[in-house]
Amino acid sequence: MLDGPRSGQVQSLFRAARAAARRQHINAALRRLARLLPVPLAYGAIALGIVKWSTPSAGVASALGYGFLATCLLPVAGAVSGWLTRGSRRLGALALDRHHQSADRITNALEFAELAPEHRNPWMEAAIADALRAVQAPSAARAVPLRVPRASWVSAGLALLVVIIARLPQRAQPLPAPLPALRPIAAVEVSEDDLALLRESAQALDSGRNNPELSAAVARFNQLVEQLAEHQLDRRQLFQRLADIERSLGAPSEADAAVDAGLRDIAGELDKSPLSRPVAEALKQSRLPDAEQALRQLAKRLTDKEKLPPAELERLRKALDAAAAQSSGRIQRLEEARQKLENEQRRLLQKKKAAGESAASPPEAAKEQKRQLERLERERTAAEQAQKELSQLDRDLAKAAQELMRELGQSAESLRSGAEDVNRMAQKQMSDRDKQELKQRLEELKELLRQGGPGREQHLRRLRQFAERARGKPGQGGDGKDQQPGQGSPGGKAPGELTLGPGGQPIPLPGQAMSPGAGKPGPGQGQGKSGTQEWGSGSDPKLQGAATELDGKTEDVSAAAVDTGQGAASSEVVFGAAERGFTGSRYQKVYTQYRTVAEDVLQGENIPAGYEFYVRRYFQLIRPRTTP
Amino acid sequence: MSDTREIEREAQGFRENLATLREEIGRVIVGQRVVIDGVLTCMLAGSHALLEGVPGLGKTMLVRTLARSLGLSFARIQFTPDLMPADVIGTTVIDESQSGAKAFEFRPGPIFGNIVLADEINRATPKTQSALLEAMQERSVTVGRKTHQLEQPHLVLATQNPLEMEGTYPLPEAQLDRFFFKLHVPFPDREQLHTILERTTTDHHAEPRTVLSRQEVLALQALVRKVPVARHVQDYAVRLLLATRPECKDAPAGVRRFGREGASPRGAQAVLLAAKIRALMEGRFAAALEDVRASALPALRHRVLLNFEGEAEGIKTDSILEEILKALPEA
Repeated sequence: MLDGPRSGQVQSLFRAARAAARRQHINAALRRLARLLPVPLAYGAIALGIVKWSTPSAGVASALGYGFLATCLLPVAGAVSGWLTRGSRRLGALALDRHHQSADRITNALEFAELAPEHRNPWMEAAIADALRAVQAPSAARAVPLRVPRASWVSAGLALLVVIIARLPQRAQPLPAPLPALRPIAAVEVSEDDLALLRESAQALDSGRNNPELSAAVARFNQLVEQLAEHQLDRRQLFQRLADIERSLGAPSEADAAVDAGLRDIAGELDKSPLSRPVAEALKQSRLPDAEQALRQLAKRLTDKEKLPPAELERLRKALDAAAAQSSGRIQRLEEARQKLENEQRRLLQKKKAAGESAASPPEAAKEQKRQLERLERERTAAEQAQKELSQLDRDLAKAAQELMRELGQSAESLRSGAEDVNRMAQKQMSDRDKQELKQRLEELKELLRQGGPGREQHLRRLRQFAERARGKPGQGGDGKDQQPGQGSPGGKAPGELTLGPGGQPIPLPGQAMSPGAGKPGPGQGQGKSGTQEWGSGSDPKLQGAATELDGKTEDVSAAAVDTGQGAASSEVVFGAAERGFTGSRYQKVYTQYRTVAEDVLQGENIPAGYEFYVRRYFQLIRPRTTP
Repeated sequence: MSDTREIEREAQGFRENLATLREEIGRVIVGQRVVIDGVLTCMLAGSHALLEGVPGLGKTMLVRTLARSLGLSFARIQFTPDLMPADVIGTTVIDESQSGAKAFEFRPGPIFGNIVLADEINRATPKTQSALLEAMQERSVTVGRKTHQLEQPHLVLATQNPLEMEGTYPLPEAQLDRFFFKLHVPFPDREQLHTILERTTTDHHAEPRTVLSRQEVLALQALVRKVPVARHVQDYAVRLLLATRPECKDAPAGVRRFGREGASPRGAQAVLLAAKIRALMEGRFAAALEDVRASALPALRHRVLLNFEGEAEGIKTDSILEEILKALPEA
C-alpha cells in the first residue's frame, strides 16, 4: 500500500471506488429484483383473481398461497445473487474513471498503489500523482447513481393490478344451480260442482267392473280429475291426457256393429217361434243378459221335458235352423252385393273405354260406386269378423235344431251352450258399453273445457256465487259486470252456445247468454238486462239420434201423492231452496224424486249425449248441500 | 518525488518533440493525422508499418518527409515482380583493392536505410518479400555466412494498393505479422484536397527540416518502453487478443463464424506498446483501456485472417474487431 503524503488521497480514491462498487452491486441487485419481481406479482394477481372469482376450496387456496410464497423467493434470491455476484474488483474504480473522464487514471493509480513499494517504479508513482491531480474529489454517488431499473415499470403495473384485484369485492358464493324455472301454467279452472260430477261419474264407472283395461282407464280418469282439482293441468295438457285415455279405450269397431246386426237377424228368426220369442225380444233390444236367461229358461223347459206341442217344437226347430243360417246368409248377401257393384263398375269401365277418353263418364258416379264398394268391403270384413264371434252360437243353434226332434235333452244342452255364447258376448258388450260410458264422461269433460274461453272467468264466478247460494249463504249480487246486457254478440259465437264435435254448428243453450240475466240480481248492484240474442234455428246435422217423435207413443205420466198435509208442497220446497239454499231433508227428498225421474228419462229416451250431460250437470248443480 | 518530476519532464519532452515532429510533417503532408500518428507510433515502437491506400495519397511523400524530419537515412525500394532479394538486402561482390588484392565485399542493399520505403510491396514475389523477414524482425541481414546488423532505428514502411489484384502477390501471414501497424490511408476531404492542390501546383515548396536526431528518436523509443501498464489493462489486451481467435470461448459470434486465424502474441505486444505510446501522447503516465481500444484496429486488422465464408461475404476484419471491442467487458 502506498505510504507517504499521498496515502490519504489514495485512500479516498479507494473508498470512492469501493462505494462505487457497492452501488454497482445495489444496482445489479435491483435489476435482478425488477426482472424477477413480475413473476410473483403476476402469480399473485392470478391467484388473487382465482380466489376472488372462483372461490376455490381450502386446499386449492392454501396451495395458491404456498405457490405465491415460493415465487416471492425468486426475486429475493435474484437480488441476493445480484448483490453477491462479484465482477472485477476494479469495477468501482473504472466507473469513477468513466464518470470523471480520467482515462483509467484512478484505476491505474489504485492498481499501482496496491503494489509493494519494491515493485512500484517512478512511472507508477507519476501515474498515481497524475490521478490525484486529475481527480480531486471522486464521487461514487455521481459515478454510479442508484437507478430504478427499467423493468420495474412492469412490476409497478402488476402491483397496481394486484391492488385493484385485492380491492374488488369477493364474488358471492355461487348458489347451487338454479332449478329450471317452473313454467307457469294457465291451470284449467273447473268448478267444484263439475269436479264432483266427474268424480261421481268415475266412481259409478269403476264400481263393480272387473275389466282391467277399463279399470286402468278409469284410474287414469280419476287421476286426471284430481289433478284438475289441484290446478295442475293447463288446457293443452288436459286435452292431451284426455286423448291418451280415449286412445287407450280404443275406437268402436265395425265388427261390434256387425255382431249387433247379426244378433238382431238371429232375433228376427227366433221371433217366429213363440218358444224362442223371449230370447228374440232380448236380442232385439241388445239385452244380452236377458237373452242368456231366456235361452237358459228355454233349455230348462226342454230338459224338464215339459209337454210341448210338436208343432211348437217344429217351429222352434225351424226358427233355430234359420237363425243359425243367418250369419252365412248375411255374408252371402254382402258378397252378392259386392259382386254386383264390381260388375257394374267393370261395365262402366268398359263403356268408358269404348266411348273413348273424350266421353268420359261423370267422375262423381265412379267415385260414388267406389265408395259403395269400399263400404261393402268393410261391411263384409266386419260381417266375417262377426261371423267368427257368432259362429259358435250358430253352431249351437244349428245343433239344437238338429237334435230338437230326436232328443230334447241334447238340444237343451246345445241351447245352454248357446246361452254361454250369449253370456260371453254380453260380457263383452257390457265392457264396450262401459268404455263408451267413460268416453262419454271424457266428452263431457271436454265440453266443460270448451265452455271456457273469453267468458270463462265470469262463468266460474257465477258458478261460485251459485254454489254459495246453494249452500244457503245470502247472494252477493252481481258486480256489475255480470249484469251487462247480453253477453253474446249477434252473428258471433255467443258464450251460451254449445258446439259438439269439431266443425259442429253452434247450439244455443238456455240459461246463459240467452236467458234473461244469469241469476237473481244481487241487492244494490244488479242491473242485468235480458239478453238480446235470439234463439237459433235449425239443428246440428251431427246430433246423435233421430229427432224426438212427438206424434205418438208417448204418454203423460202423472203421479199424485196423497196429501197428508204434513209437509210443504214440492213447489214450496223448491222455492224455499231457491231462497235459502239447497239444504234440508225436504229438499233432499224432492231432489231425489226429480233426479230419479230425469235419470229414467235419460235411460229410456234416446237423448243426444250433449244434452244428457247438461241434464246431469243441472242436477249436479242443484244437488242438496250437506254443509253450508 | 524528484523521480516523478523527472519523469514528468521526460513525458513532457516526449510530447513536445512529438508535437514538433507532427508540425514539421504537417508542413508537407496535408491532413492524414491518423496515418501520421500511426507511422510515428510505429517509429517510436521501433517497428514497421504497412500503408494501404490507393495511389496518389502521399504515402511515399509521408515516408520521405518523416525520414528527413528525423535526420535518418532513407531508402526506397520499388517492388516489382522481377525484384530479387539481393536487390533488397544487398549482395557480395569481388572488390579489388589498390594493392590489387581481391576480396569479397558486401554491398548493402536499400534495406540498410533507417527508414525504408517498400513501395507496392505486394508486387514482388514471395521470395523477395521474404527477404525482408529477417531484417524486419531481427533487424539484421544475413548474406552468405555473415550477419549484418541494421542501424537503429530501422523502420520499414511498406505500401500496397488494395485495388489492383492482378500481378500482385499477397503478403504471407508471417510477413504481415511483422508489421506493427497496418494503416489505411484515407482519401483526403475537400478542404484537404484544396490545400494539396495549392501546395503542389504552385511554386510553393516546403522542404521538411530535421527536428529530431537519431539519438533523440532512440531516446524516445526507450522512454516508451518505460511506461507502466496496470494489470487490468494488460488483461484487457490479453482478452482482446484471445477474442480474435475463433477457437476461444469468449470470441464473439462474428469471429467464430468468419475467422480463420486470430492474432499472434505479436498482436498483443503491438497493442500494448501502441497503448503506451498513445498514453504518452495524451499526457498520461500509464496505458489505459481506451489506449488499448484505440490501438486495436491498426495493430490487429492484418493479423486476423478470415475464412472462405468471411472472404465471400466481404467481411472486413475491422468490423470483426469492432464487434470484439463492443462485446469485450472492461474488467
